[in-house]
Amino acid sequence: MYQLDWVTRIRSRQSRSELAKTLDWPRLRYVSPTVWKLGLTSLLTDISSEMVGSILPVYFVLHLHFSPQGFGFLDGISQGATVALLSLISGVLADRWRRQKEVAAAGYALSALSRIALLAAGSVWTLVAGILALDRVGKGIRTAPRDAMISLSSPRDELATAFSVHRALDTCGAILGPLTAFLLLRSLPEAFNLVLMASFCIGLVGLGVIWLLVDQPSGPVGLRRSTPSVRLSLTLLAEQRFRALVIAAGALGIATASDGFIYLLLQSKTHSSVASIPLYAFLTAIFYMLLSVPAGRLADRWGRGKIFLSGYSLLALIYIILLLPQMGSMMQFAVVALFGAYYAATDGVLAAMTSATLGAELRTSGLALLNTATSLSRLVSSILFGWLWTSGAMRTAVWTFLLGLSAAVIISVLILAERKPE
Amino acid sequence: MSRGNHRLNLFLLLCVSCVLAILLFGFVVVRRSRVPSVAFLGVKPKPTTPNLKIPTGYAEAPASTDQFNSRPPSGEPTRFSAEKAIRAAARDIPAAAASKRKPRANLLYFRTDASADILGKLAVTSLDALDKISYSSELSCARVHFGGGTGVCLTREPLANGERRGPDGLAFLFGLASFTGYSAVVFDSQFRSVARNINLNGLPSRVRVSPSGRLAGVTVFLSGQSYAALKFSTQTTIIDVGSGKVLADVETFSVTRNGQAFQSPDFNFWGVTFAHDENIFYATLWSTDKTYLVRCDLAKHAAEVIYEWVECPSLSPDNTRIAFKKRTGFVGGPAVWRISLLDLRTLTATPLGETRSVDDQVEWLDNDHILYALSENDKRRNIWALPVDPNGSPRLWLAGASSPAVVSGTN
Repeated sequence: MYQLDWVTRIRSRQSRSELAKTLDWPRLRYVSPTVWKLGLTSLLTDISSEMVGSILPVYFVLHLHFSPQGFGFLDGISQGATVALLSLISGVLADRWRRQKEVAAAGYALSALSRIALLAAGSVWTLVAGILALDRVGKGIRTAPRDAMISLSSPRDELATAFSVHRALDTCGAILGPLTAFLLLRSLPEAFNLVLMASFCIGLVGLGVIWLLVDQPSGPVGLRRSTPSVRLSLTLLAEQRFRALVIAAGALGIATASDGFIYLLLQSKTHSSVASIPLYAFLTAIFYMLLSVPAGRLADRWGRGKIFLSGYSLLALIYIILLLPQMGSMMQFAVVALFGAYYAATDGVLAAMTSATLGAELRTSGLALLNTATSLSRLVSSILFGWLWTSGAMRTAVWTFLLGLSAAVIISVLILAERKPE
Repeated sequence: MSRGNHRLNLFLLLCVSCVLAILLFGFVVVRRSRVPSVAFLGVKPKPTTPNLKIPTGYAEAPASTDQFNSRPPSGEPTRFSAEKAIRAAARDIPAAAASKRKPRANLLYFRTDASADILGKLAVTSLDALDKISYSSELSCARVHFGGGTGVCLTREPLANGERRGPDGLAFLFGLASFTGYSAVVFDSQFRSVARNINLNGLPSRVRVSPSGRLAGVTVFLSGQSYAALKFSTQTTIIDVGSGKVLADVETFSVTRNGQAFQSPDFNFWGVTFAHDENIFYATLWSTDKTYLVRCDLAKHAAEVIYEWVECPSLSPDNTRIAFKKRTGFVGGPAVWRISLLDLRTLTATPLGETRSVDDQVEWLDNDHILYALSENDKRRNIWALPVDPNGSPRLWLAGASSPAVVSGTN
């Protein structure tokens, strides 16, 4: 059924017993050059976008003299939903044209263009808002085709490793971006335009990597049964294994408090300075980057479902820590380390699990469908958590989410266990 | 040559041109920040008396102090330049006279919003001769306020008494990750830093110094963490200027509304204005899409809602009225604010004669006029003056300036 099944058969003959051999570092050599190149694209694009992202508040408030009260309380809900739907459509089109590379490149191009547009827009508010939306659309468009390319160029039993390598590079970019912007502005204060310009150029090089250096992975051999369409991609939901994943990911997503809430809780629980909130994000990214590949290797060896659900158990552990009556300041590090580990164990692994259930023909559509489901469930989660916190107390919100997460993990164990272990 | 090789070459070309583009752009930025391309346009030199009446407090400056900018004359004769104004001021400052009296004269402290070389610099001018401006060579401020002989400048440059925050340890990491590295510098009428710098948790937004110069109310924006989450919240603290100690975070105050307790986790406070009795101050409270005017009692850590839809209040010198910005439109885009006046005795609000949207905490020039900054185009802001009656019309008062802080000789 899958073109890469023969690789699986060959690989499965090899020993996979001892823990010492589990991580099996030399096998990273087998990670396809395409994955490394796509990782490089993501790294550069993330440097580019995080550079801008980290200076955006400063740029708006101190350079363009926007008052955050004027736009800060705008809700991103309708925007988030629109982007989620757009990404589904782009996934289907990529499958239909068999051009994952071009669709992904279009997404990267859109984001790179948004930087230079930001430079040109000046302080016209509506333009700036539109450009930021454009950047998000670009991100929505590119994710599924890119993940499809990663999976199409990796052997089936190395999928989680391939994704983990990509995610580690991606996160590395997210770490380097703010650093670059900070160092630039440190030496040249007020040089926001230079940051935007540099961000555009770095984004352009990232686009160059995918456009000029990456080859479109060879598509499915043989005839196509039918033309991919949104309707056809929805029929994927009839397939038991894929449906189980979508349900599990959606349920877990609803019970996942967004990063912002976790950091805010952590800060208020430990009575630390509000300035530490961005530091949490920074440290989480570092832990995520470092743990991503080990988690991916373990997932390929021990079973992706196990690692994926262990990741969510770590999140539950974070909730429990946040419910403790007393918290030392060292707990902050423990929580961000756990949070980074949670990301390492879930994000790339979920993409790997999903790819493994999908035929090459509808791979992009399926990944896009799953992304849409998870982003919509995240939106619901944010609204829910915010509402619980505002109307009740912090503890109520965390308790509710802890119970919800436990239920979601149990449901996931049950429905994912129906699949035979890989 | 194979196709792959061709594409690799193309990629290398792209890399090289991008690096060149960044370098070129950087070069231009550096050059532009050194040689100002726009002349500073203070106000039009008025035909005033030839002798600049130097305000007393101001005259206390020894001419030799290097706190004032005294760069060599520039080679451009056509500019009504900062240098000229500085040299004029320096010449007129009597060298002796080192008393510790508070400034008696009518002064205006402000942030320059003009050409690149002096952009953001802290400046002072006499209200009687607005074209004579002195700049601090060191302090650049995002916001500035002054009261009772003490000024507070919210700045990114963390210099204080010669101490600089180096790229070391946790402070660097914090600065790196949060991009804040902002601090409040406490200065005297000579622009000398007189107390320890106070670290700020976020982006400078508003600052007010109490009439005695003892307290400061500082609002910062705590920014969201990512591109996607452009959400802001504010933190407003009352700081003891002398010690740098935070006396209160307004968010911890117990708030009452119509005599009943009023609380919500989404509270945000901003824009403090102090009464003569420094225990009392007013501020804006935001909760679920609505803004309120609160009257706060520092000793009791209590706040009471007294009016609605008031942002960035500013108490008149006689403490009977509050000028504020009132949100009038919010059509998916930026908010539109109308400058209005609230009479505290009758609790009635009236819109004033400025029809443009003003996003500033206004400053009272005297009991009948207010000052505020407005953006003319992309970056430059000018200070406008407006009489506080519904029919008054605004006039351009000081070009290339923002964040006005009036020091009146009478108080």
